[in-house]
Amino acid sequence: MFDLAQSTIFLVTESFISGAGRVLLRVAAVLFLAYVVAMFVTLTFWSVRSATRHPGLSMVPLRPANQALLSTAPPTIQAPASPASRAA
Amino acid sequence: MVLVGGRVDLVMVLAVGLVLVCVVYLVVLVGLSRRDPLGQERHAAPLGTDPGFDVLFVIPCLNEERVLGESLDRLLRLPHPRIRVLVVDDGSDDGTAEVVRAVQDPRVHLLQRHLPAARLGKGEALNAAVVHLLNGGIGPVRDPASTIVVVVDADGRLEEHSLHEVLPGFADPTLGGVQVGVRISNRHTSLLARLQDFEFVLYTEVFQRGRRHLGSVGLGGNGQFVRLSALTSLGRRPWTHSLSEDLDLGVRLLIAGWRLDFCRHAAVHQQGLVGLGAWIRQRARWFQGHLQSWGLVPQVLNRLEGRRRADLYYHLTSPFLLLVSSLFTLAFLTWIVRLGMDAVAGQLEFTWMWVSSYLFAFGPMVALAIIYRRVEASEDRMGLLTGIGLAHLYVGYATLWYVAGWRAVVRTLGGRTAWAKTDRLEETQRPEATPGLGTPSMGRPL
Repeated sequence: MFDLAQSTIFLVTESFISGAGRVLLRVAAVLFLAYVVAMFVTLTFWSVRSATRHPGLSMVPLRPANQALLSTAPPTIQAPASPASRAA
Repeated sequence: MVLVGGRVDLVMVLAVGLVLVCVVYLVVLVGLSRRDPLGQERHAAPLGTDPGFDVLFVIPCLNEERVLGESLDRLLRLPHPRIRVLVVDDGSDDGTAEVVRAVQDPRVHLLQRHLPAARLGKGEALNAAVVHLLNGGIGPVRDPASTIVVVVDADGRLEEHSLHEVLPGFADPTLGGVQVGVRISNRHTSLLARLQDFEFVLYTEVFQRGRRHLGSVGLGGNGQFVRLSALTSLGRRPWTHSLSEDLDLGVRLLIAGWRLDFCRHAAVHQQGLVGLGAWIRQRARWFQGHLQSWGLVPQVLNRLEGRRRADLYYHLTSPFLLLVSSLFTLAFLTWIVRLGMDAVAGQLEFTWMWVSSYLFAFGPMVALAIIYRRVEASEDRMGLLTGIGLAHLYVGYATLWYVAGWRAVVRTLGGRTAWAKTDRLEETQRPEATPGLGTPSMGRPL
């Protein structure tokens, strides 16, 4: 009797775990498929739209280079002003 | 595995497909990340020279008296002739403001915010700093295009050569911001901190470096260099209320037409969390912030082009994939439990699925551990077995993101966006002893 109960519990548990695993797997698979399809459709749609609406679109420099910033001057690092000079 | 009774099991095909998509994306980024993009090679200025630009460090603080003094000391010793530091005390209860006032250096400035105008989020504190700066609160701004705002957390320790590595790149007028690497300073004393270091190194060494080729580099909350004119191009309040204001800012700068870059030759060292509860809270906050950034997807699709658009679209929506992955992982765990029950019943038979599952689950991380070992080797030698063991532990660590992710989803659905700030640890190291300082820990050629 005890063995029968034990094996029944074992089978039920095993069946429940298998079932739960299958459900989780199916839900995850459907969500993943939905994500892939949505991504593919969205990117395809926007790629086609961009190609027709903004042909040749590219980044434009926002400001010209400041040549003064490009120079590598010799060491000019100075000690910070002292607290006394700040007070003054 | 994919064939059941001679028929194709669509569910298993999709499960394997998800893993393959992730692995292929990872392999592509690893491949890209091993070299610099053409025309974007290293432009470091030698230490001892003036790397140009005016530098304004902004440190947003909320109860940071434990760590702030050391950080200020460290920043003020960085070799640059035009440094200013603005500490934003965002309504602290502790002695944060006193720590700042005690610093006898004219380059240090304090902006105090008081309740109810304070504690409205890091983004608002940073906005207040920009407004204060533009209003001349810390002196004149020579030229917004040649002023670089550096956001550093109160526990952040920038490596000595950081400014000389990063600033020359801003000679390119289209460059809006640069993110440096992030290392965890207490990784030697805590396994959880070590795993965070593993995570940050992989994120920066693989994803950020790979994204340099795709034009989709992101900004982080610590060690973030942004041109002031780029910030003001977004308005006088460039940061939003987003819980991940750094991700949000980076994407909006890209949308506005600026280029972002990642500098692997310099890093900021910060404290890692040592408690699991605090870690979950922090990552749930980040995850919720990532969910908030979904509002940027239409602009990404409309304003960006090509690979940058595709990658940012994927990056912004990737939390969804993480949640889906959690379901696959749970299903995988039920399979493991079944195997255990079969073993108990004496019905266990070997199948090659065990091997393929193991390789899928742990293989990529073991491979990535090689990259981590090489980065870490610049400071400490890590044994091969230790590296492999760490990679296995990291797989378990990564699954904790599922807990954080679902917690963030619940909070988002409940309309709750308020989070307590992460507490700092007591500082135990003098700046001179901070790991990696003075050594280019991220600069090792890989």
